[in-house]
Amino acid sequence: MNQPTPGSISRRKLLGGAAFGLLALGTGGALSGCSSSDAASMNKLSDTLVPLPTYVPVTKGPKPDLPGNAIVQPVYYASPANSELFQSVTGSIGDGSTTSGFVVTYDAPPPANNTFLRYIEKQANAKFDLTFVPGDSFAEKFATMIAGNTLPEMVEFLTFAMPPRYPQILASRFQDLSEYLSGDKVKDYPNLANIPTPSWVSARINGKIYGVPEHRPPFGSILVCRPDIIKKLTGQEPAPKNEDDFTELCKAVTDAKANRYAITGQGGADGVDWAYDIIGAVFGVPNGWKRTGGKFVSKYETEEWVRAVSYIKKLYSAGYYHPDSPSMQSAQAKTYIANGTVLMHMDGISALLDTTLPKDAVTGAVVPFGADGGKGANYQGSSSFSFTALKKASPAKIKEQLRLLDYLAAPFGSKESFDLTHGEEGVHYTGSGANATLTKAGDTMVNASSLYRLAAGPQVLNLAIRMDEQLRRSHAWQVATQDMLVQNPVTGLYSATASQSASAESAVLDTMNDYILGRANLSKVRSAIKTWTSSVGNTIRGEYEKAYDKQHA
Amino acid sequence: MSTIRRPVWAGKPKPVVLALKGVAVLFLLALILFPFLIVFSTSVSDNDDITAAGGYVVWPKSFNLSAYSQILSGGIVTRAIVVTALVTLIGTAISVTSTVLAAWALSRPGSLFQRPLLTFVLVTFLFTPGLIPLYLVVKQLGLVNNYWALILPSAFSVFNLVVVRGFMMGIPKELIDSAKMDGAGEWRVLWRIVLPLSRAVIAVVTLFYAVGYWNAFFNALLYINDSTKWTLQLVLRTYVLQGSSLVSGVGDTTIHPAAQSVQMAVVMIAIAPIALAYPFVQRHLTKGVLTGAVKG
Repeated sequence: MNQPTPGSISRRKLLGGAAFGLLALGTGGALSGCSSSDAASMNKLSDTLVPLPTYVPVTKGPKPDLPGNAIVQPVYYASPANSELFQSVTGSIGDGSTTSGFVVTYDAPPPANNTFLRYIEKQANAKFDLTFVPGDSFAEKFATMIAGNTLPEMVEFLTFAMPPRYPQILASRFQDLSEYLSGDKVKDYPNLANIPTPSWVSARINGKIYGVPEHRPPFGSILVCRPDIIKKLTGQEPAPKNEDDFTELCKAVTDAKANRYAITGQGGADGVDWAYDIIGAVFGVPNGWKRTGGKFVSKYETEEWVRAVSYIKKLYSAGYYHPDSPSMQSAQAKTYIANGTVLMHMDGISALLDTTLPKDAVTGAVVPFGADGGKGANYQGSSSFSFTALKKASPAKIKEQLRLLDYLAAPFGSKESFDLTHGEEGVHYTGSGANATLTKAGDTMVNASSLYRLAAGPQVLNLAIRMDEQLRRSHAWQVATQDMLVQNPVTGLYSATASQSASAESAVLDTMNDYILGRANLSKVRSAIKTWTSSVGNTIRGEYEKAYDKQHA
Repeated sequence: MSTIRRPVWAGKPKPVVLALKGVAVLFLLALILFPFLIVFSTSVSDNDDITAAGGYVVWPKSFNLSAYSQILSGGIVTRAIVVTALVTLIGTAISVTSTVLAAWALSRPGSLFQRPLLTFVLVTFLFTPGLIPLYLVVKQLGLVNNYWALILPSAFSVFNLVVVRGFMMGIPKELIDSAKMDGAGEWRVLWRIVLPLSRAVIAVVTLFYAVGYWNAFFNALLYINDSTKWTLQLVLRTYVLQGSSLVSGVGDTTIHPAAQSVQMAVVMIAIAPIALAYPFVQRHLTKGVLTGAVKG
């Protein structure tokens, strides 16, 4: 039955096709419909850095239960009452015309009769025509849309999975928004000015601003833990201060006979992740790259990296890692955290707000620490989930689209934000403030309409169902970690080789894996790193340095 | 036991052997049914039970249909079922008709341009177009966002053509000649002689096509921009992805459901029609595929 059937396109065929499409695009081939001016603009990528939009926080709105700042998210245990909401947008928004968009979705699509969308369109005096693509199929759909020249006016780019040759794609097809948004110009759009600065970095490509980011807190991965169980076992919640503390902690909570392990790694298509970003940060491994003496150094090339991997090997050999680590799936790891089989696991910060957690379970995150007892580090993430780029258009059109995005980016506590997350009273939600609950119609339409993928206000810590303890824990961790962020110095720089170095990278990681599992020795690790450096590392370094020098000339 | 017909040379089986055979059959049956049981049990369990069991429930402690009601309420999935059912019905009809006609023509050595046409068709079997050219053709035909884009690009499978053609080549030439001597034309020969003899292979090919259309999600992903026209598998896929690690719970206003039970409910809904249709076609399967394969 594994024979070709209608509609079946094998993965290989698909990838081949996608690669071909992007190649055609990149070379300005006839297939992609590139004009000659497109091709010219591709070769002449910008070498100046426009200033990021000025951060002007909106100060109106309800007082948070726990305060935030440009890094830490404020906590609101409940939604403000309708009477507390403030107006964040004044004047006209849209001009009644239709705006097409391309966004990812992780929801089932909205029903055909989407009254929520109609309601918002009335508020904004605009019409939205959104094309959804399931989150994992962005690359394929994007490649065909680029090749067919059928891109909508607004396109969401995922900052964690940018398409190949994105600087060229952006330069040739999308509007440079620098003249509308850089520096103080962003003040024309107060809600966009309210998006914290780090988020804009991922939307500044070739030194120009190409989109409006969807804000996320700047923290990278966190070490999710079960403080309740750990306290029962050790008498206190986990607070390791150095390498030995952490080893002790792992030893104290692991009990293989009771099927309980301190920590787990995670297997995937890109190899096994032994919580490298957490253990690496403990040992001072740079966040991807570091810049010393005017040179970029990859994390693989540092002595700290070898120390971190050796420490992981030590923990694994002692049996503190879950034995299934090499093949552990993310969903499985989450389940193991929830039922206490595994007590620590590297995950995203939103893992702390998992509403499907069993009622009596508590999750927290281990505050970063240094191996030698010094200050801990957290690798700064992209501070954004995605950014919305606008197709090239007339200044009037661009301004109208930015007004729309400004409306969609209304901050928490504003009337607009409430509308966008709740819809029309009596139709999509009932009640007010903390008691506002979505109706069945609201449940199937509000999130599914995915308007927040185009733009949204800065994220705050607030949930539809009250989880005060989890919000408090996430906030406390953010406060403790806010001055430990370590940036990756190559953020905003483009290296063509880096985006094609997956196989070289996985070769290194495979060797690390063999070393941790006891199938290779340290000299093999070092030679694998050397191979990586000579095969791609040096080229990538050169490209980053060239891009860096251009931007800082 | 006496009712079972046994060759005269075969002795009566020993009870031990019979018992062992029974055990082996039961074991194999369990191997096949066990995953289904897990999928079903997990789909009707609540979140806490699933978590406590470590992700998969073998025997449900509670009976909870909320995963199904979550998927089936709101009319999105039911709409998608209608879309997919129509695409499957119409698509399969078009596919089977065109495949049978082409196979018959290409199995007749004397038909017009038989050799060059056959070569031409087989070449497309070996060299398939990439994703982008396919999309561009669909776009140029004006089929983007059109239900026909879910049928026409995949309406004709060369593999199925080869299977049916191989089967038809095996029909004795004498049968056809005698029909012709009695005055039957090409159509009548096809309708009265070839089709009844090819029932097995046509049943198999129909199943191949139908399963293909039913399971297809990728062409809907590429060609259909309007999400209200999405097919069942594409919609169901979004339910599976909902629980993925990329979902940021922060700021989301809805409560994410017990992802595992929803995923398993999706599996149940997706396989049910195929599983129900299979037994009716199954008896044709061995004969159909074998004949095609050997004579191809």
